[in-house]
Amino acid sequence: MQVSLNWLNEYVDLQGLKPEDIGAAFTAIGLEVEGIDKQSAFTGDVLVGKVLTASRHPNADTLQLCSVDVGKEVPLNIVCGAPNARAGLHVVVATVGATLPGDFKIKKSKIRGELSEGMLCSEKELNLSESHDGIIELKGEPVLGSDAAAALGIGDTVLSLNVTPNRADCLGMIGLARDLAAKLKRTLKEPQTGDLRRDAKLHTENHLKINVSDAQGCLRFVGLYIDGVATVPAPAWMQKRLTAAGLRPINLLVDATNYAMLEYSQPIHAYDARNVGGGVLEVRDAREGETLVTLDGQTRLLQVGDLLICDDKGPIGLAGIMGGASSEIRPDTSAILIEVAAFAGSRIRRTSKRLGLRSEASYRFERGVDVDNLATVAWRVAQLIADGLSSGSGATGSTASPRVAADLVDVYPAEVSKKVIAVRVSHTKQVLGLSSLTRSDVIDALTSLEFELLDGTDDRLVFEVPFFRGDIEREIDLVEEIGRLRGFDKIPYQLPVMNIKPTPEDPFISFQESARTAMAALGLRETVSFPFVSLRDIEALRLTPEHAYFPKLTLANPLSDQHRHMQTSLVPGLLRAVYDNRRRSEFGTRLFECGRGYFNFGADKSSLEPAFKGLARPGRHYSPRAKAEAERPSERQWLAAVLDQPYQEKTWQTPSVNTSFYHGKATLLGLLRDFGLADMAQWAVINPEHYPFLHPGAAASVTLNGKLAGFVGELHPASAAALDLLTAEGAPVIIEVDLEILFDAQSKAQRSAVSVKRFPAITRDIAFLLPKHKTHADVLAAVKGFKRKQNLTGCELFDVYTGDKLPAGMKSMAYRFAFQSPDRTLTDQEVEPELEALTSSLNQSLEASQR
Amino acid sequence: MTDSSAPEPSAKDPSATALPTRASALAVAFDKELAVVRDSRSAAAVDELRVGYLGRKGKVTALLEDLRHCTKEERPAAGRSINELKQHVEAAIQQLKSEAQEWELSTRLHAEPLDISLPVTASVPQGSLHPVTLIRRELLTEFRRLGFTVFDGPEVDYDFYNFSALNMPSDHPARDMQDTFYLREQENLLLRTHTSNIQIHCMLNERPPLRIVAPGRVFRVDSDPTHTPMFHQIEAFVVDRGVTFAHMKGVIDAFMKAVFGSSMKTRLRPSFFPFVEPGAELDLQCVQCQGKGCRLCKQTGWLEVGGCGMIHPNVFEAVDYDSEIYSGFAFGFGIDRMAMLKYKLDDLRQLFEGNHSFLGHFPLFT
Repeated sequence: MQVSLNWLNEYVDLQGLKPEDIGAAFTAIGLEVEGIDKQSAFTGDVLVGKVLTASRHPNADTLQLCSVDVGKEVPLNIVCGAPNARAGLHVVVATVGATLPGDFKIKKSKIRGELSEGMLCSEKELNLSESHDGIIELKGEPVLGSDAAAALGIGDTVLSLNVTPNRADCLGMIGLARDLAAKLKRTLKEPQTGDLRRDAKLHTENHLKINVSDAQGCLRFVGLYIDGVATVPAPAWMQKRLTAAGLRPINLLVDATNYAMLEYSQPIHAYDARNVGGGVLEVRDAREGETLVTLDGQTRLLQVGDLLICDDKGPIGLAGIMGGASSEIRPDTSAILIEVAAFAGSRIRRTSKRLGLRSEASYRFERGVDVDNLATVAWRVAQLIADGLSSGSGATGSTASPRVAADLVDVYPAEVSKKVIAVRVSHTKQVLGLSSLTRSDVIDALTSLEFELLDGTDDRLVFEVPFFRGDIEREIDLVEEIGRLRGFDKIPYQLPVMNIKPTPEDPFISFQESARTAMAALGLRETVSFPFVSLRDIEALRLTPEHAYFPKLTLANPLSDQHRHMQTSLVPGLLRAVYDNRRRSEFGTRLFECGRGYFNFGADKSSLEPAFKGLARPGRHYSPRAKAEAERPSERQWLAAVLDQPYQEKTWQTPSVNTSFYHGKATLLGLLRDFGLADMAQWAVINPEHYPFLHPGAAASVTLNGKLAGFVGELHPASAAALDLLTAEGAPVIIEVDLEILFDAQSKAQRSAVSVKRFPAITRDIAFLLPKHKTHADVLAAVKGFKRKQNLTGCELFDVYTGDKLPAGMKSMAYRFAFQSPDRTLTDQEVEPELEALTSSLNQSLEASQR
Repeated sequence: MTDSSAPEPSAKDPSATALPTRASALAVAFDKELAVVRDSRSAAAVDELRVGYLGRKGKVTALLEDLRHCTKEERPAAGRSINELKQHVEAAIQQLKSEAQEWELSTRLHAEPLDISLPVTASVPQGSLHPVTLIRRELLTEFRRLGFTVFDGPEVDYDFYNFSALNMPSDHPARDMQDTFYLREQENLLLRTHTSNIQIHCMLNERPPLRIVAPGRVFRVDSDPTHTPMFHQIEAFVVDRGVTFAHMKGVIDAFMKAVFGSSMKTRLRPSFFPFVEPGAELDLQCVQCQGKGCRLCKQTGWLEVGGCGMIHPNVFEAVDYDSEIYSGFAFGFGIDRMAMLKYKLDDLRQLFEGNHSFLGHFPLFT
């Protein structure tokens, strides 16, 4: 809301206040001032002063020495050449430091040997007129030292106010003035329409029939007939104020409705009476498929629920939002019907949102209007029009002689009564923590805001709520009014004394933070990305709609196609980041992210089994009530990482290293190890159908306690190509784990330390020649199955070789076996038989031999 | 010993009587050479010195040979003086030899010093945490110290938890304050617009007294340098008997002082949030100018960081708490905004771009 202080001054006396003070007062009562725009021809202090004495200049006949009181302790000495300067005159004083139009700076100076501390201004010097006959003579008793611009009614300051949606009344100057007057303890001055001349023979009811068919949509409808009008421009002062408020002046008839709207926060519509068929204004619900051409020339398709204004032929306006083109004010309009109505906010809001059609009117109706004030507003519009037509608009050639009807038509289907709310003084003190508050403080605050005290006999004060305060619904709202007016800065700082019973915290919250630290310690950088994905991302990952990872939640109003779906995995976001980094020539990106995958399984949670066993469990952090909501989507807590190519750029120390599956495995294993889960992890080759975006020969899934915990693998070359991520080195390696599975496994894990081994180990290296399809896991299983184990404690792979020198279909794997006793140093003789037995056992079970 | 100005005895001089004198002179000569060798710090020179005196043709050896020409009477004295000389030379050379080992080690160590300025590749590259994580941890640490429990809640939620239970019925214009992402699949399903939905989940779960802090991601239809469709909020609330607005001021002030230092000042201005009444905007003294007024705070000396208020009785009633018995307050602010203030960032969007080098700039411990 743009608030002109000149205009506001009509309703509350702002004398003696700087714009900054007014701004601070508004902000202090919850009407936040976001900007102060001073529109002035001069800067610095140009003040109201009073000439105390005026005497002849000793050295110049045409000059006078004046002593001028500008409200300060010591009067100023000013040399003045104007003939009308005399003692007792109220004048405009440009003081030292001020700058007048034409970049004229006022300085302390000596004029013919006499000191002059400023200048008494003429109209010309302030750019008000060409008059340079003498200095300005201010009328009345203006406050000495106040801003002369205000006293002259020139210049203006416009405050930008942020009016919160609860304060419908503050979308009008009078509402704002009322709050400000209450804060500043000044008087509110509302416009008076008593002197409006009405035509006793002219009756609105002869020109207008109002028919409210939808009483839910229209609480009250007031109409007023005026004829003998003309579409002349509005007076300059009105145009100025509308412009200051951000509205474009059009003509007097339209401007008067806008002006009154800005005064009372009550939208008003003026119809050309000629074009209201049958003189009928009907308010009714729209029918499906009806259309209306609104003032902006757009054809609007309507539906049930939209509130219409119709004449005897059909729709002529979208109630409370925008009028129709057919009955708008035209250059030759001579008779008008003024509509001042109270429409239901929710109806206006729904239609306005659906059509994307917002107007000053709809904005105010959505927030609510004063159902009791419609007649006042109608008369005010009539007054503005009548005054506007008679006050010199005749200059434009109009010979209009307006006739305002003697009465209104007022249709009020179901009278609304004022709310009555009690507020306890004790409760107010308690809620605000303001022990010093008294009964009379409460009464004074609320009555200054026009709440009427009905019963004030005990602690419980009963107030009637004015109609314009639709936001006041219960006691707490009155408490707020009291606190707001008093000022939150008057409430003390206090620390509560409380029961220290702590609410238990879900340990998963700290677990997740630990996982982040672990990943950072493993050399990855944490990123956060938007959890939205596009179909292109999904297609690149080769996911089909049947797949569990195919997005199941879609935004109805996404910012763009790229943000259309909710992610089920963090992988697309990480791959996007890799792509963006590469475009900036940054390779070798290593990122991780903790975030959520959003799934919507509905009641059928079996669709994922067995591949995504456990995925459909309800997520964490829900109340029991939320968990019982069968259709509620679930959110999985993922941790994902990406290792781009290369793993290591060539340096002076090391050769370049390409990122491989094994680097990803090392990272994932590192994470599992940090939580003590590495030993229980079960690794398996992936099923390519479950993970179509992974390289089938370079990926693994990991299972903890029989539950699928995640995967690690190279991005499928086809996916990498689709995402423009395929390079000669290969594709990035990705990891994703379900942190809840890790958390569960960790909380169930048994911990026991192994004692320090005090005797040396004997090691033996053995290279096995074995069929290519045998894996390291096979070897470990065979070692585990070795029955004659005595002192064998370790088995480390140290070499893998495949090549031409080996028989076809074979590979070589070399292991270092360790033998150690907890109670003595072993001898070679003790170890040899066990090693021999081990070797032959392995040879047999692995179809192996020694090279 | 002897006068050093004595003439150097000739080795050819067979006069045995001159032997003690010759030995003394040789000792003097040796000490001179010894000093030269020591200065040279050369192992080879040490060896040369040794051969020159103690070798088969060495000067001490020559004296010993001349002993043959002595008379029986002269021999004991001559022998003693030569022997003294020999021991002196042997000991000195022995000492020099061990010194020479040190010289050699030292030379070797200094021969090719490393270029310590060469860049190195760590065996594990430097990882980092996201600035939002770092700030969140800092804030949570202070909240936990004040006895708050961390609570989390769903990001995809129903209208009830995000709006209607928070005193924002449908068609209420206050909903325009938060432009909401809706989901197609179910009616009333949305992305939470604030962390206040956690108030509802928590209060449906627990009974007072409550001191809860709820950080999380929230979503609004918005995108420009200071707004992103997803951002982070943190919200704290307290519910108990007799909780007052003055308590809210006290806790907010204590919290902000704990985070920003004891000179931090806070200010509350009346405002409107449907789920609190009275509601207020929460201002911090400008962190850049300490309240003096600067570009960051638009010369006001204050930064608007969040909102707060006394929990609205309608909210308590939505979760079946008796609003006559319990009262409470809530306050919340943006974590990203805190991160931007702390790290002096001007564009919010860069927090969510995944730029590898940008993300590497935040040390693990701040």
